Amino acid sequence: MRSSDHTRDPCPWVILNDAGGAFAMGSIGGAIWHSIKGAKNSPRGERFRGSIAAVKARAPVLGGNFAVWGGMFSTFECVMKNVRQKEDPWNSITSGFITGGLLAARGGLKTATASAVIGGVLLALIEGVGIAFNRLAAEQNRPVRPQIPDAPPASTT
Amino acid sequence: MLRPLDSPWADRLGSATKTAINVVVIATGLVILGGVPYLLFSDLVGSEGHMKWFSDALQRVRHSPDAIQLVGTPIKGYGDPSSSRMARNRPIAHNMMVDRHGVEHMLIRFYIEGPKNSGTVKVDLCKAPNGQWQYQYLLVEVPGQGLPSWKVVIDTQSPPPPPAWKETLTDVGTYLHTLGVASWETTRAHTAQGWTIVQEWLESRHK
Repeated sequence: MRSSDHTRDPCPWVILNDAGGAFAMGSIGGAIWHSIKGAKNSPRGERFRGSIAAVKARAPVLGGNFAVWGGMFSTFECVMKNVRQKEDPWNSITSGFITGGLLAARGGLKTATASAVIGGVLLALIEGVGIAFNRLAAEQNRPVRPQIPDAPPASTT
Repeated sequence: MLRPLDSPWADRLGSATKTAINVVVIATGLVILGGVPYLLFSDLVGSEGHMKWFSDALQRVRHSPDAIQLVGTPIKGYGDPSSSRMARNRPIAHNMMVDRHGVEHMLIRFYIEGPKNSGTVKVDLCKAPNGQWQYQYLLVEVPGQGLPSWKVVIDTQSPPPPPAWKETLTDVGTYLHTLGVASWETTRAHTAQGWTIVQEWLESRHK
């Protein structure tokens, strides 16, 4: 099947992959951050126990938040890909917009709109960096013109 | 308290270097902040970019009866698989080159897939002297199960079909319009019916 992309899972399963990856990032990052914060905020002699307690309390929460964001983003991206029947960066930008808006929906329309705009802009920047990487990396297999001997130049009429 | 210009020259040098480093950091940040959106939007939205022509070519393929007959509807368009982990949507292979007559060419290749078959679409655009990009050819190649592949040349002389988002909006708009017209008609019919019933009851009361 031509459309099977061998570098990523097909669309439903990639949601699990992204949510899990985001959870791992959030948990590990949260563990590092809260261990340092817990150690700093504990009295001397109790620093190790304090940092462990802080990590136990806060790191899974951060992991869960990241997982929710990543899973929602990936879900909406799959939805956009299926609805538009096209793969281009607008899918990521729109799904970032929707994710940001939905996750802040409890705060009312204004907060949700601001969060949606921030999410969309953030993803537009990430996609821009991805495009820049694609340009720098020498992509194999660029299309070439067929060797037509007397190809006329562009019409000047 | 020493005023800044009276302090010894070592302090002034130190503060000047700090200011210079801060300025350099801010300038780098601004360059990145402006550069990344430029990279993204020049490709995405600008008419020099290949993505706009990818969308246009895909719309022409979607509207051509030959391609629909070979591949089916709906037609999905995508690019080459990328080994980069940052690429969530498969990038479209494109190439800008200048041929031996000095004319700039943009070559785009992407894949389409439909319920019946999948295919490759090859596009060549030339930059005319007035600066506009024009189609040189737009080919769809569909493999044929052991038989030679079909090549479909898409008509590029006709005006471009509307972009996909506009089509979706018009579809939604017409659907809502028909819904609205239907509901208005039923409301009017029911109100008229109710009014005749009320009138008959009043007349029967008066008799």
